[in-house]
This record gives sequence, C-alpha cells and structure tokens, in this order.
Amino acid sequence: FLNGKAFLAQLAERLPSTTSWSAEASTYNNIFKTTFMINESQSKGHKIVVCIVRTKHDAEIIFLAFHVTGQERFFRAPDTHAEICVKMDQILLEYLSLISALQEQWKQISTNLGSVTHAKYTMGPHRLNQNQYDGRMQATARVLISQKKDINMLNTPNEFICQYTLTSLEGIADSQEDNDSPSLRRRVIKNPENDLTKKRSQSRSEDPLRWFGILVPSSLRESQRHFKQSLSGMINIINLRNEIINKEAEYQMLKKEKEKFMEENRVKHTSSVEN
Amino acid sequence: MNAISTYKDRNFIAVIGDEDSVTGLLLAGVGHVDGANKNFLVVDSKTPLSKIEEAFIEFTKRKDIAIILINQHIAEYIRQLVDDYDQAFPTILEIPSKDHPYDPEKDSVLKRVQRLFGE
Repeated sequence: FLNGKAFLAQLAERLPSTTSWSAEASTYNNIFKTTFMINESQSKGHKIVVCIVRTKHDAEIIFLAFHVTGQERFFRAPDTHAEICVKMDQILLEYLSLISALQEQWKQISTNLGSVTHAKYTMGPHRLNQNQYDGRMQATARVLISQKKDINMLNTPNEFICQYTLTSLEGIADSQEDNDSPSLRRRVIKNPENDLTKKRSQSRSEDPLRWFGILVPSSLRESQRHFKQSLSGMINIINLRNEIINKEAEYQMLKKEKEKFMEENRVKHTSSVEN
Repeated sequence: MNAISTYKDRNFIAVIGDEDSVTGLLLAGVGHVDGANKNFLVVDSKTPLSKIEEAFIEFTKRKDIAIILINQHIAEYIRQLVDDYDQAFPTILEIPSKDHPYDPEKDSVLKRVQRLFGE
C-alpha cells in the first residue's frame, strides 16, 4: 500500500485545494482498493478510487478512477516502480530464452564437427587434404548483412540490431538490384557472374565435393551436409548473440529507470516527513 | 551509426582453422580465391604464429568479409589480438573443433550472463 499512499500524496498536491480526505479500504482477489472521498468544500463529494493490483511477480499496477461530476474516468498510473518491475521480469525471461537457444545451437553444431575427420579415416589422408583445394574456388555460401530497428531501444546506441543471412551468389545479386541506383544496376547486369547460363554450369562444377574425385564416398557427402548445417547454425549463433546484447542493454536501461524512480521516491518521502 | 556502405559489400565468410575444420567449411561453400587473395588459412603444427596474426589482421582489414570463423584453440594463440579487436565488421566467431569441443566455460557470451545477474 505504500506506493498507493505515496502516489496519492502526489495526486493530492495537484488537486485544487484539497485539504483532507477520508479513506476506505477493501480487498478482493488481489485487488487492493482504496476509496478516497475528498472532504474539502469545493471538491466535496469527489471520489477517487485507487486500485492497486498485485501481480504474480508481486509487482503493483496502480489504476486510478476519478469520479468527476458523476462520470467515472479511469487512468492508469504513469510508469511506476510496479510497471518497471513487471517489464524487467519479462525481459529477463526473454533473455534466458535467448541464452537457452544459443546453448542448444552450440550443441547441434558440436555434434557435426568430427565429420571430416571421420571421412578422412575412411578415405585416407592422401585423398582428403588441403593440397586438393581448387585454387580457383569461388564462394557459393555468402552472407548478407542487414540492420533492423529494435523498437524498444529507439534513440539509443542499440537502436539497430545487425542481422546476418546466409545466401548464394544469386541472392547477393538480387539484393543489389533491389537496393541500388540505375548506374549500379547497369554494373551488376554487365557482371559476367550474373549470366544465367554461366551460373548453371558453375553450380555443378563449383561443388567443392568434386575437388576430391569424381566418385566420392558417402562419408564425404555426409561431411558436406553436416558442415552446411553447422554453417547455418553458426549464422544463427551470430544473430542470437546480437539479440542477447540488445536484450542486456534493454534490461540495464530499465534498471536505471527503476533506480531513478526509487531515488525520487526516497527524496519525496523524506521531504513529506519533514513537512 | 554504421553507414550502410561499411557492411553492404561484406559478403564473404573467412576461416582460420585446422585442416579438417577448413575442409569442412570449404565443402559448405565458403572458400573464395581471387588472384592472390584467399579467405581462409589452414593452421597446422608447422604454421608460424606470425602467419596466423597476419591472416587475422588481413581478414579484419578487408572490406568484403562479413564474418571470420576461427577455431577457439587457434584463437588462443592470438588471444590478445582477438580480445583487442573492436570493429563492428567483420564479426568474429570462435568455433570448436573435434579435438577442442565447445566449452561453455569459455563462451564469452555466457560470461555476460554472470555480469548481468551479478550487478
């Protein structure tokens, strides 16, 4: 109830010449309700009902009802200690969920990592080593970086979250066409890599599996599949990591708000005690 | 804060790792050679420390690399360099290998959790 009283004291300051009030409290299902009747002549008969709802996180949300000339208007009290606590709990839950997803993703990646070593065992090291890498290799697995706005962190240094997307060469070309000016578009079209026929022949000859022979054992194919999965998992981890960092920043921001609020309340309490 | 031009052209994934890790990731299609420039380095017992440092610095200076994947046990050899790295791009991810599995104790992201709850 302490919050409600403090809030009401603030409210009383703003009401026109309110000098006293009588209070009647009741509770019903976790809703602590206090009805204040203003006894002063000008505002006599005005009723203010304060409802303090205690949530399962043991936070308080204050609702305020004004009875003005017979009409009832409900206001939700401005961001209080209560609301901030509720938000912080929510963020912590989201944060822990992200951490859990991160650990799960690492577990998945870890199971795949012995794949090439296993293939080497079946094929023999002379058939699977760096000397067979094609010196003209071109990357078929590429990345697109984009930035999305975090609505909870507007106007802060953490306003944007970086997002990484695994894509192919075609994916890169497509995104360039979407974003760029006509002059750049011309350059992209002139680029021989975007020639459709060349693309088709490339996709077959550019499979790194071919570096290791025409007939490759299934264990090597398995390795490729595993590492493609792992690569995708690594991109997920990078994205999760960025979300985690932003979630921390959000939490710290609310924590500062909460501390500020508590400091303000402390000051008000001491000053009202003095009076 | 980060101008689009600093990340729009970053499309490659670079790798610094042991032979099996690099082979695996190359099989997944990340490898790219352009003249004298490669986006990967195979590290074995004979690789001098300076070569690892040079590759790391070179990859971080290139404008076309989005991510650098590096085996965690190899990152240990150049720990100071990796820890001092503070650019937004490319982003660095330390990955486990078969002989050096993922260790949550060493995960810098999980260390942040302790910091968050510790305060």
